[in-house]
Amino acid sequence: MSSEPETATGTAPKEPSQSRLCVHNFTETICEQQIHFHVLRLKDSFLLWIGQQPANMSNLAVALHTNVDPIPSASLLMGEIADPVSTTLAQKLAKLTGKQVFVSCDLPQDRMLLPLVEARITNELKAAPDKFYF
Amino acid sequence: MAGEDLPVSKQGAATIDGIHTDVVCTAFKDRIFVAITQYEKLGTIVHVIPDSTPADTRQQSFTTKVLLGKDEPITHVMAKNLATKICEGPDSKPLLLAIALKEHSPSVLKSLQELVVQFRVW
Repeated sequence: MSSEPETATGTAPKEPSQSRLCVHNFTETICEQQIHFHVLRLKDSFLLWIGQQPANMSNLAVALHTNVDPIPSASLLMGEIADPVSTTLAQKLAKLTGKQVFVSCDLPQDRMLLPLVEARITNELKAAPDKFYF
Repeated sequence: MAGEDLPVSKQGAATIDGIHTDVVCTAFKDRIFVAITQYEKLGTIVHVIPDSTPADTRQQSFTTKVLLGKDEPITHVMAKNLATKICEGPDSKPLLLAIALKEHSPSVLKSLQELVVQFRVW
Protein backbone atom coordinates (compact mmCIF):
# COMPACT_ATOMS: atom_id res chain seq x y z
CA MET A 1 0.00 0.00 0.00
CA SER A 2 2.71 2.46 1.00
CA SER A 3 4.64 1.77 -2.20
CA GLU A 4 1.97 3.60 -4.22
CA PRO A 5 3.59 5.80 -6.86
CA GLU A 6 3.83 9.45 -5.92
CA THR A 7 1.81 11.88 -7.98
CA ALA A 8 3.41 14.11 -10.60
CA THR A 9 3.59 17.08 -8.22
CA GLY A 10 5.68 15.12 -5.70
CA THR A 11 2.91 14.98 -3.15
CA ALA A 12 2.59 11.90 -0.98
CA PRO A 13 -0.75 10.09 -1.42
CA LYS A 14 -3.29 11.63 0.91
CA GLU A 15 -6.78 10.47 1.90
CA PRO A 16 -9.18 12.16 4.28
CA SER A 17 -9.47 10.51 7.66
CA GLN A 18 -11.25 10.89 11.00
CA SER A 19 -9.47 13.07 13.56
CA ARG A 20 -8.46 11.31 16.77
CA LEU A 21 -7.64 14.45 18.69
CA CYS A 22 -10.33 16.56 20.22
CA VAL A 23 -10.75 20.05 21.57
CA HIS A 24 -12.78 20.74 24.68
CA ASN A 25 -13.75 24.32 25.59
CA PHE A 26 -15.50 25.52 28.71
CA THR A 27 -16.03 28.84 30.43
CA GLU A 28 -16.55 29.63 34.09
CA THR A 29 -17.21 32.81 35.96
CA ILE A 30 -14.74 32.93 38.84
CA CYS A 31 -14.42 36.00 41.10
CA GLU A 32 -16.78 37.83 38.72
CA GLN A 33 -14.38 37.24 35.84
CA GLN A 34 -15.00 35.15 32.76
CA ILE A 35 -12.28 32.52 32.63
CA HIS A 36 -11.96 30.43 29.49
CA PHE A 37 -10.49 26.95 29.36
CA HIS A 38 -9.32 25.20 26.22
CA VAL A 39 -8.16 21.60 26.30
CA LEU A 40 -6.49 19.69 23.47
CA ARG A 41 -6.87 15.99 24.09
CA LEU A 42 -3.82 13.92 23.16
CA LYS A 43 -2.56 10.40 23.73
CA ASP A 44 -1.29 10.13 27.32
CA SER A 45 -0.98 13.91 27.47
CA PHE A 46 -2.96 17.09 27.04
CA LEU A 47 -2.57 20.78 26.42
CA LEU A 48 -4.52 23.18 28.59
CA TRP A 49 -4.90 26.87 27.91
CA ILE A 50 -6.48 29.14 30.47
CA GLY A 51 -7.16 32.79 29.85
CA GLN A 52 -9.50 35.68 29.39
CA GLN A 53 -10.36 37.92 26.51
CA PRO A 54 -8.36 38.68 24.47
CA ALA A 55 -7.09 35.13 24.13
CA ASN A 56 -3.35 35.48 24.31
CA MET A 57 -0.91 32.58 24.53
CA SER A 58 2.03 34.27 26.16
CA ASN A 59 3.65 31.29 27.81
CA LEU A 60 3.87 27.52 27.68
CA ALA A 61 5.02 25.10 30.36
CA VAL A 62 5.41 21.35 30.31
CA ALA A 63 5.50 18.84 33.16
CA LEU A 64 5.78 15.09 33.31
CA HIS A 65 6.21 12.36 35.83
CA THR A 66 9.66 10.78 36.11
CA ASN A 67 10.95 7.75 38.00
CA VAL A 68 13.65 9.65 39.87
CA ASP A 69 11.48 12.08 41.80
CA PRO A 70 7.91 11.88 43.15
CA ILE A 71 7.50 15.54 42.16
CA PRO A 72 6.93 15.81 38.40
CA SER A 73 9.64 17.47 36.40
CA ALA A 74 8.53 20.81 34.92
CA SER A 75 9.93 23.38 32.57
CA LEU A 76 8.85 26.64 31.01
CA LEU A 77 9.23 26.41 27.23
CA MET A 78 8.14 29.88 26.29
CA GLY A 79 7.37 33.14 28.08
CA GLU A 80 8.46 35.03 31.14
CA ILE A 81 10.56 32.84 33.45
CA ALA A 82 9.65 35.06 36.41
CA ASP A 83 6.00 33.98 36.13
CA PRO A 84 5.77 30.51 37.70
CA VAL A 85 1.97 30.08 37.37
CA SER A 86 1.94 27.86 34.26
CA THR A 87 4.88 25.75 35.42
CA THR A 88 3.39 25.12 38.87
CA LEU A 89 -0.01 24.31 37.44
CA ALA A 90 1.49 21.92 34.88
CA GLN A 91 3.39 20.22 37.69
CA LYS A 92 0.27 19.82 39.81
CA LEU A 93 -1.78 18.43 36.93
CA ALA A 94 1.03 16.03 35.99
CA LYS A 95 1.08 14.80 39.57
CA LEU A 96 -2.69 14.40 39.55
CA THR A 97 -2.99 12.59 36.23
CA GLY A 98 0.41 10.93 35.80
CA LYS A 99 0.38 12.24 32.22
CA GLN A 100 2.50 14.70 30.32
CA VAL A 101 0.84 18.09 30.69
CA PHE A 102 1.28 21.28 28.69
CA VAL A 103 -0.13 24.41 30.27
CA SER A 104 -0.45 27.94 29.03
CA CYS A 105 -1.97 30.18 31.67
CA ASP A 106 -2.70 33.77 30.80
CA LEU A 107 -4.33 35.18 33.93
CA PRO A 108 -3.65 38.22 36.07
CA GLN A 109 -1.65 37.60 39.25
CA ASP A 110 -4.42 37.11 41.78
CA ARG A 111 -4.07 35.07 44.94
CA MET A 112 -7.83 34.64 45.23
CA LEU A 113 -8.42 33.66 41.62
CA LEU A 114 -5.74 31.05 40.97
CA PRO A 115 -6.77 28.45 43.61
CA LEU A 116 -10.36 28.63 42.34
CA VAL A 117 -9.23 28.20 38.73
CA GLU A 118 -7.18 25.21 39.81
CA ALA A 119 -10.16 23.71 41.63
CA ARG A 120 -12.32 24.18 38.52
CA ILE A 121 -9.80 22.27 36.38
CA THR A 122 -9.50 19.50 38.93
CA ASN A 123 -13.30 19.16 38.95
CA GLU A 124 -13.44 18.99 35.18
CA LEU A 125 -10.62 16.45 35.12
CA LYS A 126 -12.44 14.22 37.58
CA ALA A 127 -15.80 14.63 35.84
CA ALA A 128 -14.55 14.02 32.29
CA PRO A 129 -11.00 12.61 32.17
CA ASP A 130 -11.73 11.25 28.67
CA LYS A 131 -11.91 14.84 27.43
CA PHE A 132 -8.32 15.42 28.55
CA TYR A 133 -6.43 12.33 27.44
CA PHE A 134 -6.83 8.85 25.97
CA MET B 1 -18.71 40.42 21.80
CA ALA B 2 -19.28 37.00 23.33
CA GLY B 3 -16.77 34.44 22.23
CA GLU B 4 -15.22 36.42 19.43
CA ASP B 5 -11.86 36.72 21.15
CA LEU B 6 -11.75 33.11 22.24
CA PRO B 7 -9.24 30.76 20.67
CA VAL B 8 -10.71 29.45 17.42
CA SER B 9 -9.86 25.85 16.61
CA LYS B 10 -10.14 23.76 13.51
CA GLN B 11 -9.09 20.18 13.31
CA GLY B 12 -8.98 17.29 10.95
CA ALA B 13 -7.00 14.33 9.83
CA ALA B 14 -5.72 12.57 6.74
CA THR B 15 -3.86 9.44 5.87
CA ILE B 16 -0.59 10.47 4.28
CA ASP B 17 1.48 7.71 2.70
CA GLY B 18 -0.59 5.24 4.72
CA ILE B 19 0.08 7.01 8.03
CA HIS B 20 -2.72 8.62 10.03
CA THR B 21 -1.96 12.31 10.54
CA ASP B 22 -3.90 14.65 12.82
CA VAL B 23 -3.92 18.41 12.42
CA VAL B 24 -5.19 20.95 14.94
CA CYS B 25 -4.97 24.68 14.27
CA THR B 26 -5.82 27.19 16.99
CA ALA B 27 -5.71 30.95 16.55
CA PHE B 28 -4.87 33.00 19.59
CA LYS B 29 -4.78 36.78 19.62
CA ASP B 30 -0.99 36.95 19.61
CA ARG B 31 -0.01 33.56 18.24
CA ILE B 32 -1.05 30.69 15.99
CA PHE B 33 -0.80 27.20 17.40
CA VAL B 34 -0.59 24.30 14.95
CA ALA B 35 -0.15 20.67 15.89
CA ILE B 36 0.68 18.15 13.17
CA THR B 37 1.03 14.70 14.59
CA GLN B 38 1.28 11.07 13.57
CA TYR B 39 1.71 9.93 17.18
CA GLU B 40 -1.34 11.70 18.72
CA LYS B 41 1.15 13.59 20.86
CA LEU B 42 2.74 16.99 20.48
CA GLY B 43 6.30 15.80 19.90
CA THR B 44 8.77 18.50 18.93
CA ILE B 45 7.67 22.05 19.66
CA VAL B 46 9.08 24.76 17.44
CA HIS B 47 8.58 28.48 17.72
CA VAL B 48 8.53 30.21 14.33
CA ILE B 49 8.81 33.99 14.04
CA PRO B 50 8.39 35.66 10.63
CA ASP B 51 11.34 37.96 9.92
CA SER B 52 10.16 41.55 9.65
CA THR B 53 13.01 42.54 7.35
CA PRO B 54 13.66 39.56 5.09
CA ALA B 55 17.01 39.41 3.30
CA ASP B 56 15.18 38.55 0.08
CA THR B 57 11.95 40.50 -0.35
CA ARG B 58 10.55 38.01 -2.87
CA GLN B 59 10.60 35.23 -0.35
CA GLN B 60 9.51 35.26 3.25
CA SER B 61 12.01 34.14 5.84
CA PHE B 62 11.58 32.81 9.35
CA THR B 63 13.51 32.40 12.54
CA THR B 64 12.90 28.99 14.08
CA LYS B 65 13.71 27.82 17.57
CA VAL B 66 13.13 24.34 18.93
CA LEU B 67 11.58 24.71 22.38
CA LEU B 68 11.17 21.04 23.16
CA GLY B 69 12.55 17.94 21.46
CA LYS B 70 15.40 17.06 19.15
CA ASP B 71 16.98 20.12 17.59
CA GLU B 72 17.71 18.65 14.17
CA PRO B 73 18.15 20.52 10.87
CA ILE B 74 15.17 18.64 9.37
CA THR B 75 12.88 20.03 12.08
CA HIS B 76 13.81 23.58 11.06
CA VAL B 77 13.29 22.74 7.38
CA MET B 78 9.81 21.32 8.04
CA ALA B 79 8.87 24.23 10.32
CA LYS B 80 10.00 26.92 7.90
CA ASN B 81 8.27 25.30 4.93
CA LEU B 82 5.02 24.78 6.82
CA ALA B 83 5.22 28.35 8.10
CA THR B 84 5.22 29.67 4.52
CA LYS B 85 1.64 28.36 4.25
CA ILE B 86 0.56 29.58 7.69
CA CYS B 87 2.33 32.90 8.25
CA GLU B 88 1.41 35.15 5.34
CA GLY B 89 3.40 38.34 5.24
CA PRO B 90 6.10 39.66 7.57
CA ASP B 91 3.46 41.09 9.92
CA SER B 92 1.97 37.69 10.63
CA LYS B 93 1.63 36.40 14.17
CA PRO B 94 4.35 34.07 15.41
CA LEU B 95 3.62 30.38 15.04
CA LEU B 96 3.91 27.73 17.69
CA LEU B 97 4.26 24.46 15.83
CA ALA B 98 4.06 21.03 17.41
CA ILE B 99 5.23 18.40 14.99
CA ALA B 100 5.53 14.64 15.42
CA LEU B 101 6.18 12.74 12.20
CA LYS B 102 7.19 9.13 11.62
CA GLU B 103 8.98 10.01 8.44
CA HIS B 104 10.28 13.23 6.90
CA SER B 105 10.34 13.56 3.14
CA PRO B 106 9.71 16.30 0.58
CA SER B 107 6.52 14.57 -0.59
CA VAL B 108 5.17 14.28 2.97
CA LEU B 109 5.97 17.96 3.47
CA LYS B 110 3.99 18.89 0.35
CA SER B 111 1.00 16.88 1.53
CA LEU B 112 1.19 18.49 4.95
CA GLN B 113 1.30 21.95 3.38
CA GLU B 114 -1.86 21.12 1.43
CA LEU B 115 -3.47 19.64 4.52
CA VAL B 116 -2.74 22.48 6.89
CA VAL B 117 -4.35 25.16 4.69
CA GLN B 118 -7.64 23.24 4.89
CA PHE B 119 -7.82 24.14 8.57
CA ARG B 120 -7.06 27.82 8.18
CA VAL B 121 -7.93 29.76 11.32
CA TRP B 122 -5.52 32.65 10.83
